[in-house]
Amino acid sequence: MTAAESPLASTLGILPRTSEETVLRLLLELGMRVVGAEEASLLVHEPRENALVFVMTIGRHESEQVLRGQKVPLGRGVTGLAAVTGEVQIGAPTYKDLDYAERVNEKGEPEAVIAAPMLKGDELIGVITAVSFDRAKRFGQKDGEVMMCCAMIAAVVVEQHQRLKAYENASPIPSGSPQSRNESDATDLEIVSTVSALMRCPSAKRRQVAALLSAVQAIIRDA
Amino acid sequence: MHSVRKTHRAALISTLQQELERLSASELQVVSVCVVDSGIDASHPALAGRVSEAYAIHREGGEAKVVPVDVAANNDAFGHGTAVASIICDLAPNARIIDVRLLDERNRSDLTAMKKALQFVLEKKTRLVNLSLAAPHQMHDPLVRFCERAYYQDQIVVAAKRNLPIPDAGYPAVLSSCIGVDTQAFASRFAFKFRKRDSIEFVAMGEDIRAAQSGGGYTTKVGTSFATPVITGMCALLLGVYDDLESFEVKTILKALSLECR
Repeated sequence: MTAAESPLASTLGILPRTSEETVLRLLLELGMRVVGAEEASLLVHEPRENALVFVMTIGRHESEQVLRGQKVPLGRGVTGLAAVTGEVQIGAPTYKDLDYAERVNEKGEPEAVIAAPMLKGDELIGVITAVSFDRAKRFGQKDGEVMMCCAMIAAVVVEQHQRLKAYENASPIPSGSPQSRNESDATDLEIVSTVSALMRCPSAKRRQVAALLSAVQAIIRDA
Repeated sequence: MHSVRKTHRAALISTLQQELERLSASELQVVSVCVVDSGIDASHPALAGRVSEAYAIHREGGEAKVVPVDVAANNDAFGHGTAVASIICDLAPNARIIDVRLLDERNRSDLTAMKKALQFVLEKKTRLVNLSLAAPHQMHDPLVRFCERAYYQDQIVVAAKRNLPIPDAGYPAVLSSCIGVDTQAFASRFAFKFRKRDSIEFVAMGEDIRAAQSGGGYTTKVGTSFATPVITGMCALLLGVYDDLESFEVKTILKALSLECR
C-alpha cells in the first residue's frame, strides 16, 4: 500500500512499513490472539466529521478491503460508545425477549465485540476493536482489560510519533494541537524545535552556535 | 477436623444461597433503591411498575438542580442505568427504584452535579444506594462525607470498582463505609465472594449477566457496573425480610453468605 492509499498516513501521518505502523499492527495482533478474537481493527477519530474511520484491520483478509476508510459516527454501536464514554465497552447480541431465543442482530454483524478507546489525557485519538463471529463466543472482563492495555500503548505510540515529527520538522506547534494543550509541553517543544533548527545551520557557523549554547548552559547552571 | 469444618461451612453456604433464591420468590417488604446512573428506561417491560420516581441533575450556569422527569419515559442517556436497574429488579422483586440521572450520553458528569446528586440521595433516605460508577480522586472528600453520613442514617451504599484500576480502584468503592464490588464469573448470580483486608471487599457476578436493553430487548453485560447491582439486589432481599438491619449487619451477613473469605 502506498502512503497515498493509506488512511493511517492521511489521518495520523504514520506511513506504511514504518516502525510505528508495525507496532500498531503488532498490538492489534497481540490483543486479537490473547482475547481469542477473529479480527481486530484500529479506528482514528476524525473531529471534523464527528466520526471514527477504519485505518487498519487484521484477521480476515477480506475485512481490511471492505472496512478501510469506512466511518462510524461517534456514539453509534459499541465502538462509537467507547469513543464518547472513554471507557472499554463489551458488546453482546440483543435478544427480543426474556427467553433469549430470538436475536435482534443484523446479518453479518459480529457476535461479540470489544472496543477500547485510545486516549491522550481526555483527548480521543481513536478506538481499537476486537470482534468474533462465533455465535458461542463472549468476551469477559479480563478480555476488556487486555484490549484497554493495548489501546493505551497504541495511544502512546501515536503521541510519541507526533512529538517526534514536531521535533524533526522544527515546526511551530499549531494551536489546539495535542502538543500545545499542556503549556509546559509546549515550552519544551519550542526549545527542542529551536535546537533542531540550529543543528541545520551551515557547518561554518556550527562551532559558534555550539559555543553560544555552552555559554547559555553555564549561565543556567550557575544561576 | 479442618476438612469437616470446611464441608459443614460449604453445606451451610449452599443452604443459605438456596435461601436467597427462595427469598427472591417469596413475599417481601418493599425496599427503595436510589440508582444514580445514566437514567432508566422505565417503559421497558422488565421494569414495568418498578420505577417509582425519576429525576435528572441539570446544570444551569454554575449550579446544579434536581429536576423531576416523566417516570414512565425512557430517561436513559446511553443504556447503562437501564441494565443496572433491571439486574436489581430481577434479583429482588421487592426493590422499588428511584431513578437519579447523573451521567450524560458520554458517561460523564462533573463535581457540582455529583455533589448535588449525593445531597439529593441523602435527603431521600432510601435504604439502598447503587453507584455503578467510579469517581476520580478529586471526589474523595465529598464522597467520604457522603458515605459517612449515609452510614449514620442507615443508608447502604453499594459502589463499583473501576474496571481497569488506573490510577486507582475508584471512589467511593474503596471507602470502608461503602460496599465495594468487583466482578468475575460465577455459576449462579446468587454466588459471590468476600475478600478480607481488600479495599474492594466483594466480588459478584458481572460476566455475561442478563440485563434489559434501553429501548427494548435483552442482552448480556460485562463489568463491575453490572456486578454492583447484584450485591444491591442481595441487600434488598435481606432488608425485605429484616428491615431493621443496620449497615454493618448487612455487610456481616453478606460476608457470612459469601463463597469464600481469604
